[in-house]
Amino acid sequence: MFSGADRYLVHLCEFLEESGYEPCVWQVGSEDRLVKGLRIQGLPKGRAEFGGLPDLNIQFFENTAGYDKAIYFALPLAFPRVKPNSIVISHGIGWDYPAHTWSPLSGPLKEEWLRRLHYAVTACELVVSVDTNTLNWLRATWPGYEHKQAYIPNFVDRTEFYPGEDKKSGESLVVLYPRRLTWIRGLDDVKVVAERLTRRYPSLEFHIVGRGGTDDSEAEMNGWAKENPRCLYYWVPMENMPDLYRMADIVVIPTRAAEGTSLACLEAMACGKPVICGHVGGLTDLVIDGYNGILINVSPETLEEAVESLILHPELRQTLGRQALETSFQFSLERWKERWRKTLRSVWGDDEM
Amino acid sequence: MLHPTLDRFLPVEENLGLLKLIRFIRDELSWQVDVFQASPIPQRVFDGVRVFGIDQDPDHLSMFPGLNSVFARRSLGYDLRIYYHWHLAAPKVCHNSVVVSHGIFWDAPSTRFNRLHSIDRKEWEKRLLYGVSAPRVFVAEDRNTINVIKAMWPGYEHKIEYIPPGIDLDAFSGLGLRAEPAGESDTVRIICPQDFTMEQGINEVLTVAGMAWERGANMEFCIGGHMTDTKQASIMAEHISSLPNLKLCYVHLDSMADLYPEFDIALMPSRGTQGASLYCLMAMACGLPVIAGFAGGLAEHVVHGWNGYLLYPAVANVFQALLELAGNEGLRRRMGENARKLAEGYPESLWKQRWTCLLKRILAKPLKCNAPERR
Repeated sequence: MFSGADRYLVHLCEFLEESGYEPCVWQVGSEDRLVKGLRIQGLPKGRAEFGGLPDLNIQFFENTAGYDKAIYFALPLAFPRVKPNSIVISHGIGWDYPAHTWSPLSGPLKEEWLRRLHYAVTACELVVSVDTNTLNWLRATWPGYEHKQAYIPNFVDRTEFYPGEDKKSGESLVVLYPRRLTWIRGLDDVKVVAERLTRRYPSLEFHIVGRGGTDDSEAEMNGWAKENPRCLYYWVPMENMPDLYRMADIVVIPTRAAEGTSLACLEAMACGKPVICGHVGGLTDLVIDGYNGILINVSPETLEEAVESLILHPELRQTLGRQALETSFQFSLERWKERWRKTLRSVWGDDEM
Repeated sequence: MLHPTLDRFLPVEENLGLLKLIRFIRDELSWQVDVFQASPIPQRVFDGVRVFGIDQDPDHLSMFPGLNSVFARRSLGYDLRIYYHWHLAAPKVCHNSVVVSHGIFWDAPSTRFNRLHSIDRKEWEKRLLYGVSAPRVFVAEDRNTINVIKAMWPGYEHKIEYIPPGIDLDAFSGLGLRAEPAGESDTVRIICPQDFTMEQGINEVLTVAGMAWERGANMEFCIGGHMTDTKQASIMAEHISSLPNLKLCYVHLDSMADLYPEFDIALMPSRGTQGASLYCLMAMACGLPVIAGFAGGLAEHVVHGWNGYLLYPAVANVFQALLELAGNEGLRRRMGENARKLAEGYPESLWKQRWTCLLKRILAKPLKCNAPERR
């Protein structure tokens, strides 16, 4: 499991178990499994429509008559029917770019997509959003439902992600891109900047670390890295990521769209690293430009300028990194659990926990 | 609840239910209750309850966004809010809110909602959906409302709570108390509880009363209700006075139980805009068979041929039903007994129990994550 959503799910289930619930995950699949002690029930996928899986939703409803509580893990999964006392989680606005399937739509098709989204947002007892960006969009689009919305930003496990020792002088300066290989995460911008800056600064390294969606994409990245000295591409198991953050001097999260409160950003901050982020989605909940990171309107030029400013000003790197670390305390795993605890208490009642 | 500018209670069916709920919450749950309504009078007291006026007119959709917005601000310090009509909920319900529906009110062609432009109608429907989806609970007093909501917006059933009206079965109990029920040759007394709208069949009532007089039928009609518009009331009074077998009877709201036992039949030829009908339940509890239009919640209470007539309320149908019932004392008695049996399924104690459970359940889980601080 690599995606932020996967890790969120694992932590949420662990939290629910700690809190005395017996979580069971229902997802697309052909069999029932036990994964690290977690029950996973498979359901047929059915048709995909308007970004959702209505057949899956109905199967879930029908198969869970004996369950009295439900959490829908993403907004599109909540249509066409939610169970009573249910919570739906939003992991951020995923459609804020022109190439998204539903963005260029107009007229009846877009209306239908919005209608289903509206149902998901209004039929449940509570929408838990990982960022305020989503809540603001909801309030602008369908005012009047604020009392059914809660903000629980993402988290970082500070027992795993913490600062390392200061690097020795003379070591290479490392810029880390710890994301999946997609353009939407700013990969193309990073590649352009990496090529330019590694030529300009002989002691600079760019590490691009993450899985691609396909073997082809990874092969392409390997080929690109071979052609660009001090541009490295690889990926590591999740448990090795903290060491990578500690090794880095600058972390770039140049997301262009479809972002919540990025786990990668929080992990970098918790390791005391200055972050350069696109001002999209929930990243603006984490980063205050010039205080604990740099926010940019992502393009190769703006990214290059931001990275270069941190290369040339080590004291700025240290200040931003220190303040990033302090900020990350507010997004600890413990705080996240406490927020969820209060939320569940208010939705499902005190006597349940 | 009160007339906007005159210091009097408006005893229409909906307000009778409201007053009952207020008294129950205040006297039996011992909670403080304040009422906010559209009125230029800032504050009054009625029945020991503060009534705050918010000087806002309805909009072109007959909704009250201005009143709603002011109420949202002024009610921040309260623990719980009840929006006592569906149209009051938009654009914003506060946390810990209940919206109460008194039935589908747009199911007659004559209503203004049937004449809305498509853009306005879409907006109006959007706001209705908001009234269902936004509060903690949407209370429906009749099953017709629930079915309509399910058909219009599938998937919100879990937000709806069914709480039909409840009747004090001791107070409303006419059986055996009527000194002389009408025999075969006696005048049959017919009560027509009304809020004086065409949708509730006022014109059908006036017409059948006229027909009965013309044909020499042994029937007396009494329209039990109250008109809020004094000009309309005087026109109605003039019309009624032209028919010797028709009169208006206004009874104080606390004496309504004394009204129904005086009669033999209840006539409610509603065409639409009908909820669960407290009037119908009152009449049935007093052992009256009911001739009812096939509208709204009336179909829940009246089983055709068992405790009354359920019919398309064309004048001919209504008159025929009246003739049959008025001419058959045994049929009236059997249907009246069955009407009482049905009414016994709506005891006030059950209504109180349902409201108590609902209100306490909401307050037990107050969605604190988004609730403002109490003042």
